[in-house]
Amino acid sequence: MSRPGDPVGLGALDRDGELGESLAGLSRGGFIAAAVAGVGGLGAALAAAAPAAAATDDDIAVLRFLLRLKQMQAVFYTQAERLGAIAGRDLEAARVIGAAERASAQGLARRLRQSASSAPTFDFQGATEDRERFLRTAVALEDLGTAAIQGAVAELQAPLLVVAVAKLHPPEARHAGWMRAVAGVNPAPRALDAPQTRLAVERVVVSTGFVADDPTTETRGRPSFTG
Amino acid sequence: MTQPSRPGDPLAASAGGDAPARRDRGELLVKAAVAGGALAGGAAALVLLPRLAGSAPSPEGDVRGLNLLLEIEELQVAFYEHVLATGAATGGLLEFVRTAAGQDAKHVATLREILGGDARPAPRFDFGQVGEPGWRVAARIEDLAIAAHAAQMPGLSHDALIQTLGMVSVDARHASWVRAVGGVRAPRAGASEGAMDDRELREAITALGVSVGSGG
Repeated sequence: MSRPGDPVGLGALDRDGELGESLAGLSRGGFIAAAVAGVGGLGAALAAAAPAAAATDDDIAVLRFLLRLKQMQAVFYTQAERLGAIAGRDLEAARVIGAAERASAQGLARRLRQSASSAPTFDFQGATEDRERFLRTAVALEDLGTAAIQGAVAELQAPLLVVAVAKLHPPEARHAGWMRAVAGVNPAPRALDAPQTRLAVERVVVSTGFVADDPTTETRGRPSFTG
Repeated sequence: MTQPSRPGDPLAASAGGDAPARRDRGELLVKAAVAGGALAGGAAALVLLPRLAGSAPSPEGDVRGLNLLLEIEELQVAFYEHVLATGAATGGLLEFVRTAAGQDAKHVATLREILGGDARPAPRFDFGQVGEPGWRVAARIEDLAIAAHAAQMPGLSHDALIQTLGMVSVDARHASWVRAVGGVRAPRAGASEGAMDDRELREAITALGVSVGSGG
């Protein structure tokens, strides 16, 4: 039922360098120091990271990547809930998982000081309007999220960020298992889940066409801070 | 302790090439495993070590942490083998148990391969006091495995953490799967995962009615 090529990637979401602009006022060290107790698992996890642990430019890029993924998942479930094409157990799954994704996205956006106006827009091309397509896409998004977080842990460098993001992995995998069960497919197709790199995830995202505008990754400007 | 190679792993190059610090920790991991040998054995099957939250990762810490995870995965395998032996599971639960048993056995094999000579002998588990070994107990045991992994994350080296994420991910899938089999209506809420140290785990396992004896 799920198609490996369905899930979405994140690099295409930074249209017009908005992410670069939103990070312009954020020093590398200030990223962690600015953390406050926030909503959602990721926000709380980042808030728990010691202020002394500075994030590298690469770390911030990874977190931006995860933010985009969480935003995409959050919007997907929110739309599905509102459009009324799903009901019963499907709807309950969308509500619970959607709430978790929204919380994570909000927490991460707050830590990255990204305003709501700079969030990307998505067109799921009917995937939120049809039960079968919803389930197929949800399975793909959660599998992708699981692999993306696993890959992000490998890419991150600041030790406390590594742990903070790693702790997001099991809940994401729970979501993946749950949506697969709801969709009637094997919740655990492999004995060991594998990570995906940012590049691989981004390629998948582009292939879906879910991003409302054309990707302009080449316009993503270097943050004005240098750290 | 050795780390299994992963041919074709897309992260194999990126994880090491640009991060000398991580590679040094990985090298220490291997060297300690070669020189240090197995930790002193103990009568208790569960590793009763003080919680090392906030401690910097170290090769010794990896050995302790990975051995704890090994024992929890062995608990899972033993439980599922117990369920199969009772013949009580049918339908969706049986399908789950068969799959989970095999996958958790893979986790055990992987951890033993990583630990090499530092791997502790498998404990002996007695499920006689567990009562009905149904989906609720299975879900609880999977939750305990996830909590164990979460507790060890801060203390594991980056390399060891990367190695274990693929296992806890599947344990989490199992936790959702067996709840779905049990007819739970909605997935477990929350965007973060609780952690349990070794003492808390031992208490939780005892509360399930599981007796743990030394192996080897």
